[in-house]
Amino acid sequence: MIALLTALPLLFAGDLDERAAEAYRAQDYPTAAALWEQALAGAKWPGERARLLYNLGNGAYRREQYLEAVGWYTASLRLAPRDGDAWKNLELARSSAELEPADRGDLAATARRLVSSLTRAEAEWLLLLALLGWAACLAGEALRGGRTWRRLCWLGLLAVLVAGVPLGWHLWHAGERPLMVVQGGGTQGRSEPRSDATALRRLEPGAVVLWRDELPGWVGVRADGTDLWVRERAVFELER
Amino acid sequence: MRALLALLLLVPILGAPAAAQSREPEVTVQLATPLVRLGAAVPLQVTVEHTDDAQLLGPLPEVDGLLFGQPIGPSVNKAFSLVQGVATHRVTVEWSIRVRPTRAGTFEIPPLRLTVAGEEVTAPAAPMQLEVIEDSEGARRGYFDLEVPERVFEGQPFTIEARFGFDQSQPVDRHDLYLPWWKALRGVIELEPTVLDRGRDRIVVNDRDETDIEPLRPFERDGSVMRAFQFRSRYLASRPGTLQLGASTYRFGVVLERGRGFSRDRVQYYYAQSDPVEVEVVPVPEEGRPFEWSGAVGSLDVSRRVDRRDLQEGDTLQLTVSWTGEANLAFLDPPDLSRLDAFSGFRLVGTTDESFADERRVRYDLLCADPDILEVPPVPLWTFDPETEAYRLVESRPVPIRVRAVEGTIVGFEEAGAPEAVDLADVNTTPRAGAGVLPLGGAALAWTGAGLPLAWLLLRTLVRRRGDPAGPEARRRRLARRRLARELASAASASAQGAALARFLAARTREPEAAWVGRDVEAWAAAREGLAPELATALVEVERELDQRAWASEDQPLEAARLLAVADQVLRGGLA
Repeated sequence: MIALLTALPLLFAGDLDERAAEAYRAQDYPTAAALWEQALAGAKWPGERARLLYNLGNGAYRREQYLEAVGWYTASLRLAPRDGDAWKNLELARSSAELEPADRGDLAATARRLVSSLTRAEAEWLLLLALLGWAACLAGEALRGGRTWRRLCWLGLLAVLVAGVPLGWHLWHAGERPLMVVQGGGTQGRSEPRSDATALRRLEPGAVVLWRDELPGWVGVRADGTDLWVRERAVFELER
Repeated sequence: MRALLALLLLVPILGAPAAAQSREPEVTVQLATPLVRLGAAVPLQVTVEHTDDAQLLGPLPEVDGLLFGQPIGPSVNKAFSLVQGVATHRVTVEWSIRVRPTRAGTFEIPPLRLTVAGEEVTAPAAPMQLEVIEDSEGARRGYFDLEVPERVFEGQPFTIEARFGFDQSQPVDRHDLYLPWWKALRGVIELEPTVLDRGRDRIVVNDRDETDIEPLRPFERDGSVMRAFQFRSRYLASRPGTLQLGASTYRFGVVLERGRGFSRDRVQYYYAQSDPVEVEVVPVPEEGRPFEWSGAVGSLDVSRRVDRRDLQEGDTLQLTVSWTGEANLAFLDPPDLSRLDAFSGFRLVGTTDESFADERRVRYDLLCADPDILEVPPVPLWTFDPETEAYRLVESRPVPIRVRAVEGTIVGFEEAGAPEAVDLADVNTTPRAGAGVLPLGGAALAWTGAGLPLAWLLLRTLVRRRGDPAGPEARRRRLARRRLARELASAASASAQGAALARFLAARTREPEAAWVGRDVEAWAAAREGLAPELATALVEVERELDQRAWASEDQPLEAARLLAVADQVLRGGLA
């Protein structure tokens, strides 16, 4: 009985997923999106959430909501950063939304993609692996001594530092709630959450800002060090 | 004597400039005439004397009813004269500004600002008066009509048509036009003239350009027979707003006296004015706008032709579609046939797009892929018709064709007709169960990272209490077994094997090699605690056998494997 009760939510989620896929195949994209969003609300594991976010991206793309699709794919890649299909669809959606590619291919973009290619948990395991290697080197040096072991210790330390970069990147961005501007033509960032407040700067479509505060209908964001208020409907939360 | 004369001549010459420079600069600003007929331009002369350090400061004053041209200058003149021993050095800087009235009346021109010898001055002291009177004689002898549409839509081409002329019973030797809006209209794109717009004569416009004019048939106006001309200029409104065309002038004149040498002709000019006009540009309405609207605005006609009508499956057909009419032909987007369902039996393999002043011509290269095709379907183009103020579909007429079927695969069809498609990767319908990689927790990793050096330090300290593990003795002890195997492999006698075994035992017991030469192994084993008795026995036996062989059996070596087995026994049995 307990097993049945535990499995019920999963069965329910599976049913939603199947119905969403059927609606998608029938080109009823709004229904598919609504069902996947329901399934997403009940999904716990990051892999499953990434899959549902990816499917929602496809639904948005088929509805020609390209900026929204970019948001869903980006959110999916935050959970499954090495998903080739999600990367492919993201670049296609960005192209359709007339945004520049997510991976421009230059040195900075490649480095960023490399560093963010692991999830937080994967980055922790990578660091643990490097620490174990370093521990072996230290033990060798303590027990046997000698120049070779000392060199291995230094190499092990270097490996730990390199392996710590992805985790460092995650720690640096921990607690951030990034939002993407998904309103066609961009949105106006205002000094206060009022339509007649001073327009401080324009946020272009696809721009990523950080959540700061929120009020009904408005979101306080930080963009390049400037605190702004934007319409809630103009931005898309990437942390899902 | 000659030198003295030269010096006497040079003194006033050299001294003169200094005298001239010392005079105060004088600024004169005046109109060439205070009375002018409407249409004529009057020069405003600015003169600065006794210095060449002068600059006219902008901007020029703005007076309603007067247009100021760009200042011509500065023109710097330097002259030196010597009259009756008195040297005069004259420096003058001049500008000339054309002032052209656009209506009759009395105008005040405010003083101009200049910098002279580093100081800012205004001149003249009082505003200048200019009286502009109607040229009634010019209006009687000539005419100038400007015709423009009152209202056009954004993107719609329109024509500015000017008609002008003079009484042909009066002699006229020269004429020209002054059009304040010529090449100065904002929010329009000047279009290439059509055949209709080209004329047989030329006329000067604004003293610098020339344009075509077309002589018209003389006609009667106010009792006079007028010799008439026309010129047309085509534009396309590129943004909503109001285009203002100020009063324009037709100047015609008769030469009273021909100039001789460098003198100019004396000409009696007359001026005929047009009224200022406006064109309102309104945006194209969004209501009723079809998705397929091509951006075309205007009245369009379409024609089509094909290069062949009887063809085989897989043959290429050239369909040429021409759009003509008063429309923004160069700016519309021609239909993309590859996106039209009606053309699904064809494959578009190429397009050639040409734009002319009065025609847009697109040639489509179509590959006929279906033998069931009976016609080239109509090519649709949505346009906005400014006359009806509604969107209209302009379609070419279909062209009946015959396509003969071909057996087998059409070579090149797939390559030509199937461009590489790019689409989304499909949705993922396989649920991903499980938590994936479980997080370890940053704190645990941090403690591990920080604890490792401490653990290392502790272990290192403990280990080094028993000596340096990297010291020569410890290394000799660790490598003893390997060295023994190597030496036994190369030992050719029992005595060499005995020496190798002694070195091995010495390394393992941290003793000098000599300690094992002739040692009583039984006594040593008995004195050493924890050593297995069978180990001592094995050692004693092998030592004894090596000695016997060395002294009694021609120093024949033992089997190396046996010695190594004893060595391993030693390592296991207490000398590890």
